[in-house]
Amino acid sequence: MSTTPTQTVLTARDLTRHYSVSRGLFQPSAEVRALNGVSFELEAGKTLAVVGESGCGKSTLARALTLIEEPSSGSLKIAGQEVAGASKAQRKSLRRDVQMIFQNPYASLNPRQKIGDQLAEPLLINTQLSRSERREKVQAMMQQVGLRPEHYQRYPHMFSGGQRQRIALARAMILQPKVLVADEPTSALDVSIQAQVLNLFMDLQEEFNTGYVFISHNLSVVRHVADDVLVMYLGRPAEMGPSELIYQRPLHPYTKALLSATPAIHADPNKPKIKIVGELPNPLNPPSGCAFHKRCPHATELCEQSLPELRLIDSRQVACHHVEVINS
Amino acid sequence: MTHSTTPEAVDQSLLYPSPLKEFWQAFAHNKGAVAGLLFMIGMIICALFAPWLAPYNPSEQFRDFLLTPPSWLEGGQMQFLLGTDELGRDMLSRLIHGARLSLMIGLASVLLSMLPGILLGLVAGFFPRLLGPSIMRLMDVMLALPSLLLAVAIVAILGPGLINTVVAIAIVSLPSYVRLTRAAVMSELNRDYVTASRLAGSGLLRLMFVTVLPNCMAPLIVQATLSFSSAILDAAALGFLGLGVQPPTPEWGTMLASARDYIERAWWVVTLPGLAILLSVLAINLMGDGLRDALDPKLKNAV
Repeated sequence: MSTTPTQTVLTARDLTRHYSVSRGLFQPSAEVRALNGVSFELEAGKTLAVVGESGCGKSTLARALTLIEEPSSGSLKIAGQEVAGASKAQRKSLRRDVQMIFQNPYASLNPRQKIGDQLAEPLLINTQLSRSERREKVQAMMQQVGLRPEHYQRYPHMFSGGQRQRIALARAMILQPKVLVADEPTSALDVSIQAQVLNLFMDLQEEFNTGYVFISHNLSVVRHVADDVLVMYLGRPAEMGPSELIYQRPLHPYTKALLSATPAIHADPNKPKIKIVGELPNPLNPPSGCAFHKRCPHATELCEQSLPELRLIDSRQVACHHVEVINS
Repeated sequence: MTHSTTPEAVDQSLLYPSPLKEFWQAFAHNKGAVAGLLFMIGMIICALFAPWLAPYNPSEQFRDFLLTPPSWLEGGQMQFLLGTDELGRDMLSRLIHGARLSLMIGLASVLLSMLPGILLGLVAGFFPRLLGPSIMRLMDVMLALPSLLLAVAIVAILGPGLINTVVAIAIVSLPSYVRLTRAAVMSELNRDYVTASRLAGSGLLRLMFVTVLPNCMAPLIVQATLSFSSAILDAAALGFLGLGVQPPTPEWGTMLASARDYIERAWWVVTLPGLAILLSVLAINLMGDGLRDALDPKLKNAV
């Protein structure tokens, strides 16, 4: 697999998604800016982790990437092909290339369909394989994710959470997509199962050379799987760069706070816990300037007034006016 | 569905058991449902072979035997097992012949309202912007009228008769199917497995009928069995008003309605058709319960 040249499978440029929310009969509808200009590139076989607290736009990003929802503006390219303006047939083939794993393994499988049928469904729709060829392929995939052949004709309720997540993974990977979007795939699982499922994720990635977008708020899981990390705050990227760099030396004050909040077995007594006060601001009424300024210990007047752009500092991108001052 | 592969080529445990066999195993688990099924089979046999099973012509009047009690009571006659009615017609023959019409009315009106109701409900659930609200407002208009009044109005427009009665009853019970289906569809559509099926490339029809509809069936089956009984009773009410099945024809509801004057003197004339309706409804409800459970994989035992 290492012989294949790196190939960009997913390119997002200034992806935004705004929802209009009606606030009542006589009031104008408000706009929620769930996603506000996110750009990144994902290479085949690499993992981009998206982290941030609840409500920062992670799931909206997932929905936009999987073509479930149209982005309000910005461009999205899958394997070099622009999604906006693609014809219906093109969209169908693009949709095949991006698959998704959901957070809740209990809701992501159809309770009335046998596992074999559910796994064969993508093949039935997208390929011309015969019945027995489909079954063969499903069996092979089931073996790959560690399911036994007799599971073929069982219903989802007969499986545990970890097994269901394996089934969901098998269904997503059976078409060998170029991109897999995983929306907190392990947060509903026991800790003991999480590691197994994560390792399975990585094995399959190596085998199929798939690009992963891994959405999570579990930072220790992210460290385990990610090549690149994108930290989001209120729909905007706060910091983006190689995982190792960010974990070793976070530059953005929000990233610092997030990382210092990660629980550890042997906490470093010299490392102070950074507390951030308050809650995520209301996305209906975002603060002026830097969205983080109300909770940031280093905020100045400048932060209140102007929005920091992403700047390339220390081989990663950071959106903060005072990076140099804070980290000197 | 036939498998041409030889048994040794494919592991038996990987083959699906025949869906019919699997269904029957789950259904037979429920004793009440099997009892209901047996009773209904008996009723259907009665209906099919009525001319041969019934001892007399249902319209023949024995003027010497008006309101004869059933044979086991004092004054009963062996030749009229279940007695006679106010015109001297044999109750047993009328009940057997009545099974034909009553079952037909129930079945036809349930099918005629359930199939369009499910379709409309699916469409209303899948298109919540434009089509959905317009369908639902139309159903609200139909629900706003008292059901019997609406049925009378429809029969008045179409003209009295058996088929028009069935159509009227079907139209009257349509809104409840539409509402039930739409509610179930809307709650299922937000689930992740529907999104997953969309991502796999499912088209609209596949999403509607393969992915979502099977998960909405439980309330619909219950509603169908319940409305079977109300269809028989509605048909009786229409018949009573002179708009449904016309009097000499034996039909359980009409028999019930026309005999209510004799309830104090000759209880059997009222009770027996009522009992026939009650037992059929009970049997169908039991069957419906069993059907719903048999179709729900969660209630099946692990293979």
